[in-house]
Amino acid sequence: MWADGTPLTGGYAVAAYTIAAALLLGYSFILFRRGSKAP
Amino acid sequence: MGEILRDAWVLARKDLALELRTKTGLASALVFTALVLTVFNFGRDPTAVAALDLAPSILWVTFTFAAVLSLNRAFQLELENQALDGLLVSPVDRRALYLGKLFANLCFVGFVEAVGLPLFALFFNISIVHVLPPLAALIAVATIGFVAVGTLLSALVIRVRFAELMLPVLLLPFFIPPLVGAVQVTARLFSGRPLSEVSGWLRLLLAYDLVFVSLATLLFPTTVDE
Amino acid sequence: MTLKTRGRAITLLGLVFLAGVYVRAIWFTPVERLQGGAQKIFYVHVPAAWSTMLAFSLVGLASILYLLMKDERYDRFAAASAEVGTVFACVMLTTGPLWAKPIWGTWWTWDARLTSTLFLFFLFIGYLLLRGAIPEAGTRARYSAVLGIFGAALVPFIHLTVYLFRTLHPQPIVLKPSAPSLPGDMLATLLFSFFTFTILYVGFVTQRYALGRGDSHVG
Repeated sequence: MWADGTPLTGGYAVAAYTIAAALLLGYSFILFRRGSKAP
Repeated sequence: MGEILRDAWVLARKDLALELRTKTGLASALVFTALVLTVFNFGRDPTAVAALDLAPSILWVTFTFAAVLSLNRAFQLELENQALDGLLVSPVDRRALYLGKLFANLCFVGFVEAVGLPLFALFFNISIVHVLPPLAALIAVATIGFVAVGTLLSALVIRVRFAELMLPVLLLPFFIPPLVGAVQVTARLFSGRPLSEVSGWLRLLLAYDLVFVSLATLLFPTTVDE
Repeated sequence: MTLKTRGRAITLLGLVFLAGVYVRAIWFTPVERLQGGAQKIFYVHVPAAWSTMLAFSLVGLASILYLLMKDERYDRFAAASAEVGTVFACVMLTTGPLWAKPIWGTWWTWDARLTSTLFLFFLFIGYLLLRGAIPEAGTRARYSAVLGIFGAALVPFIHLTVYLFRTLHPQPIVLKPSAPSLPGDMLATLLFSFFTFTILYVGFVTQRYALGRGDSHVG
């Protein structure tokens, strides 16, 4: 809890944003690589 | 239309006759049902959870397992006898093929359910006699739903690799609406509550049957023809 | 400019916008009083759900069009959209529980959006598995189209099931989730995010479609 009573929930946001970015960037990377390898 | 239904009936009888001759599929489905019910009974702590709370779910999970088993058996029979290829050469209407298969599968699963239900009532000590007509109707409606989808999807996977694994995987999402609806209505029936409470679920079940039997009949020709 | 290059450009653009969304959501959007920082997950979670739904609807549409027209380009599009949809579904299904835990108190809630996306995820996986198991292109296209249509028909029933279930079992609320009418700044961030996720969908599908074109066995 912060001093004024609002809940301390930022950690979940950090985790969520990181995972989402990892998934989207990861898939982008996979597509780029597959595109480069194809004849 | 009448010709399609007649052809379907003839095809269904052929499938059922084949099944009755060997009886192995039927026997294994019945044994399996009894086994599942027994395991569920030993799995729970009777002092902790009332039978009535779990009973609807247990009944329907058992029926669903039995249905998947039956659908797999039907597909095995098909593969062994190459019956489908033989039928496709003939000029029979494909929709009759589907409806025939559907009917045969329904008879099979229905028989397993008819034996399973009294077993269930016995093992879990639940009185079902007073709600038997609505319960039987509910079982019929829900079963039509998932067997309709299952019959089409088993035709779909028949020429696919890893078919026995593929069928349950594909089928799972399709089972959920009729299953959840069936459990909810069964729970109401067992606890003696009026059916008007679950009119939404009943309508869902009926709509599901209507939509998927129609869709399957419509798309079956595309599935089996080259 | 080839399709592949165009797809890459669009994706890159989408990723730049995504960075913009992140910056805006984290630093330039007010913190919601009741939910705290976790509410910001909303700006990624909801557009991801939207992209999943979009991807799935288009798989269904492409399936119908394929069966009617027998044009293999529809089949190729369906395959691309299914794969991309699965990615967005993963984003939605990972951010969802991370948002649900601080707000609702449990990792999973059977709410309409999460449950529907979970089922779309199962349908996508089944669809992709089926495709992977059929080597012959024509049969694969046909069977996938049938499954795609069946899946599309199932979606309203999933929604109905969740709706009926929820009216029986209302969710316990630990913290009140954000109200439908958002203040200006929050709404702008959300809309920007919707836009970004749509761009990403288009970029991903374009690339994936181009990949499918190069090798007829990849589909």
